[in-house]
Amino acid sequence: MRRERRKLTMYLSGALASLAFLLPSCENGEGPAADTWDRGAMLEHLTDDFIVPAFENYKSQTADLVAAATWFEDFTDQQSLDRLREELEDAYLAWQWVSFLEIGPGEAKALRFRSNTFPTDTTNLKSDITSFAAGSGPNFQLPSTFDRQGYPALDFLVEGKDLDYFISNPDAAAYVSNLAISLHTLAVDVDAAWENERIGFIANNGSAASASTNKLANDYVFHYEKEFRAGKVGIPAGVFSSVPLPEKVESLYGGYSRKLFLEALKAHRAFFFGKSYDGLSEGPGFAAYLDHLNVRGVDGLLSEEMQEVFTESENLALELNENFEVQISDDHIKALELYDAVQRGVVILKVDMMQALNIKVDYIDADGD
Amino acid sequence: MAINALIIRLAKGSASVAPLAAFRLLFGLLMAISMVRFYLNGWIEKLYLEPDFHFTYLGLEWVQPLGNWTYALFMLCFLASIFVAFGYYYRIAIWVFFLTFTYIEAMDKTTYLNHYYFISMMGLLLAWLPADAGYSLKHRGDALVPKWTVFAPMLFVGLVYFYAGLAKLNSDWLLRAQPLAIWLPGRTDLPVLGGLFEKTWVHFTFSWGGALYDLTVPFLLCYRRTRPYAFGLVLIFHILTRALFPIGMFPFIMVAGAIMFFSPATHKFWLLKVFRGKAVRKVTLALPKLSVGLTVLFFVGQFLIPLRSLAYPGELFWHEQGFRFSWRVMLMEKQGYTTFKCVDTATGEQWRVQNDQFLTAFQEKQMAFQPDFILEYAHHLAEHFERTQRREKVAVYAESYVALNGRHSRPFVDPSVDLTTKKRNLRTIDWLLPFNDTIYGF
Repeated sequence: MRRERRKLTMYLSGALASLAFLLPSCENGEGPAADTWDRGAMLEHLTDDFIVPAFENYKSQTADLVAAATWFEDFTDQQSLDRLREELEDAYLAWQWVSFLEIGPGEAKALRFRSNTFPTDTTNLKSDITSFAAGSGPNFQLPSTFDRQGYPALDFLVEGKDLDYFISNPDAAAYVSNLAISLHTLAVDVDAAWENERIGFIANNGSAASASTNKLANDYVFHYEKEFRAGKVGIPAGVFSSVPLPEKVESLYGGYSRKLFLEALKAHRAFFFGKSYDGLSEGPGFAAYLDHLNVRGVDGLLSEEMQEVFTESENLALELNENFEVQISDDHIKALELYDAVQRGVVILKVDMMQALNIKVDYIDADGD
Repeated sequence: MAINALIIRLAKGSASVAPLAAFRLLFGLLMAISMVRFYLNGWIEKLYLEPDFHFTYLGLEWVQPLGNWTYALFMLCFLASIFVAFGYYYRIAIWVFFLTFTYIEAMDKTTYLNHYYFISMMGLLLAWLPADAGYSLKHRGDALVPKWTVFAPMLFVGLVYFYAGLAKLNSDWLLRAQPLAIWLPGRTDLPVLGGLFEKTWVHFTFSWGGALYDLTVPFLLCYRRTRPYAFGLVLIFHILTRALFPIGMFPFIMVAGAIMFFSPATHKFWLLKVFRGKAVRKVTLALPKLSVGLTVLFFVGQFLIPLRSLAYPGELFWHEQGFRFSWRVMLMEKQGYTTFKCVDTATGEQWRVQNDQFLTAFQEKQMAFQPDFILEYAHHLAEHFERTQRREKVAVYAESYVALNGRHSRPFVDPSVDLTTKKRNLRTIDWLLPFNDTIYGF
């Protein structure tokens, strides 16, 4: 019996010793060695030089939009309508720089759903104007209202209607302010939350599915595939339906869908290459991370292959009508060509980049083996 | 002569049930914890109730989630695990465990993991072994059982390790250190060791060490002299893999499997503290011939099933025919992107599919690089559009790119093949594009 006990003690102490040896390595945060990729530095750069300034700018653009909208509500004339349209376009362009940053605070507040779900539901939108005037407007937090708020709703009213409409419908002008204020409030909330959460976001520099790099990459790729490729081009071009659906373009009434597409392309490209938001400097981003790991494409670096995709997509888009609705109605084949070019990027990002950076393309923390 | 003698000794001899009973107790408890963990992680909902469509195993298409009764299924499996652990109504409990657990795993092959398969098969093997003969609520003291019944689960553990080691003897693993060369640099955040994970020599050390470990550890566990060291290796290996990769309960299960190798005397010591029985009894099997027959059949099957991949031409890692159920663990970093084009053959209308309207993110990810998933999903799409849109005949084509072990992504499925013309069966897949590279080895 004593021998058994001694043996058991030996095994148990051996087990405990190995545990003691390995477990502390999971705890204290010692910085990675100099020649390894510093994810913390990358997150800091992307957060402080891109995400935070992008949201700062977006917040101030939506503030300008609110100012123009309330001015228009008080002085409903052509000049203030023109100004409102300009401010709307500026804010919509600024939006393209934060649309793919649906992480952390943005995700919690359904930023993208609330800001840019299109096409907008014009029938319900019209009844919202009446109910808002009667003092019981829609609750914009509810998912059922996602398709009658944000830019698409503003686009319908501000770009789709003329001055006479607003003069005879003062409630509509008031409702435009309401929509603009709701967008701005959301921007202020998310911007403020980022200020609070930036330290935690940068510190979460591990490699778990919930770590910042993984979330950022997943969200970027998700946005590229679903919003940039499918939403802006594929769906209206008729890729997913048996006929083209030109009425599903972004800014259907403003008619500047190409401009928005190109702006989104610029934003995606800048973020991928680690450009700062102001475009003045460059730091560690996905491209540099891939280059650091020497990830190759068919010939040359994978990051260069992605650069080609951006360039080709840009060139093809410039050949299209600046209003995608017009383009798709006239000749949707050219839009399909643009779709195919953008699609090549999905394979590079979702298959090659995610594999090389060892990032899992899903949000479920399921087990592997 | 020596083998003959061994067989006779195994067949005729009797031994203390202690190692088997110890494993039964640990296995049951770990399974109970697994079920609770599965529930607490919200996976029952996410993996089985939320998806509209489930990927099935060939021949087991009828195994589907049971709506809210799925929770009852997990509950039943949990209760059976507890009963197994304490050897209470063991025979019924272990069969209930095997059937419920296997049903759960068969509901959707998206969640397939080798260690789930291991658990299922271990449950099956335990179903006719006298694991409750002693140290159980049925008989608290020790029991003498036929020697082979104690030996059988160890043989199975050893076989799993050995096949896992054999599978690592390929050129990607040994000569390119893949996929560890991709996985380890992703874990540089791990302090102390993390700084080393971008170094090539570390990738190779881990690869070769892993292969050597799998191939030798079952033998080292068998001998009294090497056993303590082997067990130390088991602990280090599984703690390390647990720290590096999201592998859930697997390390604990394998550690329990290794504990079984200790001598009966070692086990008696702690089992008696739990069950506090004094009497020793001798147990004979109720149906000895059937038990032996089933066990032999079990091992013949376990020996052959991993080898079935040899029947398929082409690169196994690419077409994956015979990849599952073969202890090919951690061998591949494979990701894909697969989209589908549907064509109404009567009207000529065509459209592409947004996969997220049919699949969860997890299902889409698993579907994208596994041919049997792609085919089943293509058939499902055709049926769906034919039914909901009243179309006569819908053809489905896949556009697919797959990257394997750090190679650049390349076209996977032949885009000119209407997948609805291909049947789901075990025949060689003829609608994939060539891999255009060679991975040497087993």
